[in-house]
Amino acid sequence: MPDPWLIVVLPLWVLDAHATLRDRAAVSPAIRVALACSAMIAAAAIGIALSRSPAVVVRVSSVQHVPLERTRDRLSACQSGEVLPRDTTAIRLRVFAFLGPRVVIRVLERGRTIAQGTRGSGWTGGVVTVPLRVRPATVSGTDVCFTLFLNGDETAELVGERTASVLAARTAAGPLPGRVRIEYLRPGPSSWWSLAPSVARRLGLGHAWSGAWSAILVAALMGAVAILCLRLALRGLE
Amino acid sequence: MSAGRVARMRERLGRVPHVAWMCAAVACLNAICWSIVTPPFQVPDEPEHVAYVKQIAETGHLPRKSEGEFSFEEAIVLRAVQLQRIAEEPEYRTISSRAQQATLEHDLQLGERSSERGSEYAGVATSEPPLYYALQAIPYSLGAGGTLLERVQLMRLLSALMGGMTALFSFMFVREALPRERWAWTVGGLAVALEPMLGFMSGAVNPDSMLYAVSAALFYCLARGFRRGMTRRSAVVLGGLIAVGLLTKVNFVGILPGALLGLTALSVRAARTLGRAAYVSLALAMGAALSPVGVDLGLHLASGGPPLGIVSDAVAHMRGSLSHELGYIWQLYLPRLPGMGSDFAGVMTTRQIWLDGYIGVFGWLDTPFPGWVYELALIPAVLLVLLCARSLLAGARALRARASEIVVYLTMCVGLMGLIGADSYLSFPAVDAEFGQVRYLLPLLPLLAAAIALAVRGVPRRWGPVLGAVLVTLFLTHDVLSQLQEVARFYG
Repeated sequence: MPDPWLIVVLPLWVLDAHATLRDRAAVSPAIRVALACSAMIAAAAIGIALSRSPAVVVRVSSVQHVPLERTRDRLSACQSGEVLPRDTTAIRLRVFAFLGPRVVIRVLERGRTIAQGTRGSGWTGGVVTVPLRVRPATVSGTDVCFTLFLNGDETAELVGERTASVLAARTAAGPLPGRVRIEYLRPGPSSWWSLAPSVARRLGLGHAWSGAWSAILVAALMGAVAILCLRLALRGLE
Repeated sequence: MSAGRVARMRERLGRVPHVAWMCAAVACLNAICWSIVTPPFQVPDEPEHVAYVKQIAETGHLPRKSEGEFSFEEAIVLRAVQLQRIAEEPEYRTISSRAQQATLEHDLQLGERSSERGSEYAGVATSEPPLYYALQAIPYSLGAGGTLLERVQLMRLLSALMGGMTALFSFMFVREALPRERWAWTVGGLAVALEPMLGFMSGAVNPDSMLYAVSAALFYCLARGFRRGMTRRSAVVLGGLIAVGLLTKVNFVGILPGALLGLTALSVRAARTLGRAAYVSLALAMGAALSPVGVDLGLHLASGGPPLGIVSDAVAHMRGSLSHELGYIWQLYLPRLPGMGSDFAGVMTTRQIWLDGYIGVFGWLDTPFPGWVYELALIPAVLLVLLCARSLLAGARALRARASEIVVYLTMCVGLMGLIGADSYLSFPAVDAEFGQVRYLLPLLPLLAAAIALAVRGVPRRWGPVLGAVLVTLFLTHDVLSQLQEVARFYG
C-alpha cells in the first residue's frame, strides 16, 4: 500500500510546483540552492530518524513502582542480582525529580565494570534514561550501581518495589527499603517506517474522532505547513 | 456593524502584509497538527482548564474549589483515556485496542448522560481570571451535542487560532521594530510560527495560548507607538490590551509594569506635540488597563478573601531574605555571580532549563529528545546568539536612539522572568525550579522573533536571505521532529 504521506503531500507539491516555477525568475539562485540543500539535509535527517528502531523494554527489575526513598543528598547505591540483557543500549532508572541531578550508572560483573553511562543534570520527570555502550551478550548476576549527584537542594525520589533488606539496593549507610525499578532498553526489531501503519491506527484511537484518517490529516496539515514555509522562503526572503 | 465600518475594517486588515497572514496560517495549521497528535489531557493542567470551561459553559459561574474531584463526566473520561497511567510514565502508550476504544466510547456516552452540571473543582486553574475560559465556552457550547472529547478538540482549535494570532503579531512586531530589512521579518515570523512549544501549547486547552497572543499584540502596539507616535485611539487600544491580558492569565502581572511604563513613555513623547491631550489619553488608557484590577479587588474584598487573590497569597508566603531571593532568581536564568550562594549546583540553568526547554520537553514534561539532540542544538544556538550580538554591536548608535523603547521591552522581560522566579522560590529548596518551564516565557516570543531577525542581519547583506532560508528549514525540521517525538512517545 502506498505511503499515506505520499498520497496526500505529493499532489500538493505538484500543484505548488507551478507557482514556484512561475516565481523562479524572481528568486535569487543562492536562496534556491540554500533552500534545496537544507531541505534535502532535513529530509535525510527525518528519514534517518524514521529508519531507526524505537527502543523497547527488554527487562524490568521489579514490577511494582512505589516510592522508596526521598533524598536531597548525593546518593550511591548498588543493586545485586540483576541481569544485563544483550544489546542493551540504555538503562532507565525510576527516579522522580523536577530538575534532575547528574546520574552515573555502572554495571558490574564480579566487581568488574562491564558497562557504564552518564546522564547530565537538568532532566525532568519520573524516569531518567542513561545510555550505555552495547554489550553483545546477556550477563547474569550483575550489580547495577548508580550515583545521583544531588547537592542538598533538589529532592529526588527513588521508586521501585519494597523488599526484604537482603534483596534491597544497598548504600554505604545500609539497605534501602527495597529495589529500585530498573528497565533495560534496546532497539526493537522494526523501524519506525515499518511501524507506521500501527502508529497511524493508534493515532486514531482515544481521540475525539476515531479512525486512521487522523494520521492522513496530520500528514496533510504538515505538508501544507511545509509548502507554505517553502513559498514564504521563496517570496518573503527577497 | 455599518457598511462603512466593515469597509474600514477591511481596509485596515488589507494593510497587513500577505506574508504576515501566511505566517499566521503556518502557526495555526501547525497548532492544529499538534492538537491532533497530542492525546487529550496529555498537556500540563489541561484537565483543570477543561473543568473551568465546563463550569462556565454549563452553569455560568466560576469554579470555586482548587481541591476536590472532577465532575463525573470528566473523571470517567480521564479514567477511560488512562491519564494517570500514561502521564509521566513513558513506558505506557495511549489506548491501543478496539476493546479499550469501545470502553472509552461507552464511558463518553455515560458521561454525556450525567445530570451533573459544571465542575466546582478546577484545581490549579481555579485562581485564573475568566476571559480565556469564557471564550472557550463558545466552542464548548457549539459541541454540546457531542462527547467531552469532541468538545475538547473544538476548544483546542480555538487555541490554535490564538497560536496563529501570536505569529501574526510577532511578525508585525518585527516589522515595526526592525523596519529596514523586509526579508528578515519573514524569518522572525516563521521562527515563532514553527516554535514547537508554541504549537504544543496552542494545540491544547490552556490560557497560555491566549496569553501569548495578547502579549504579542501588546509588543506590536508598543513598537508601533514608538515608531509612529501615539494617538488617543492607540492609547486606548493599548489600555484595552493590558486589560485583556490581566483577564487572561495571572502571569500577565509580570508583564504589567513594563506595559504601563511603555504607555507612560509613549504619552510623554506624544505630549511634546499633542500637549495635555496626550495625558488625557494616558488617563483613559490607564483606566481601561487597570479596571480588571479594580474589579478583582472589589470582588475579593466583597467575598472576604485576600484583596489581590493569589497575588496576595504569594506575597503572604514570602520568606527568607530579599537578597537571597534575588540571587535565586538571577541564578534561575543566568550563571552565578561571585558572592551569591549556590542554588543550582551542578546545573547550568541557562542551558539545561531554558535552552533545553526551548528545544523541547513535551507531554507532562515526560517527552524529551535523546540527550545528544540538546548537545547538537548548542551549535546553531550559539551561532545565532553570536550573530545577534554582532548585529546589535553594529547598530549600537541606533540602539542608543531607541533607549526608552528598549528599556520598556526589557522591563516586560525582567518582570515576567522575575515573577516566574519569585513563584519558583516559594517551593525552593524542596523543588529547585518548579516553574522553570519554557512555556511560561513564551509571552516574550516577539522578542525571540526580533532576535532571530537581528541574527540573520548579522551576516553580510548578500548572505542574510540565504541564512534565512537555511534557518526556516531548520525551524521546520525541528518542529516535525518534535511532533514525531510526541507520536513516538504516545503511539509508538
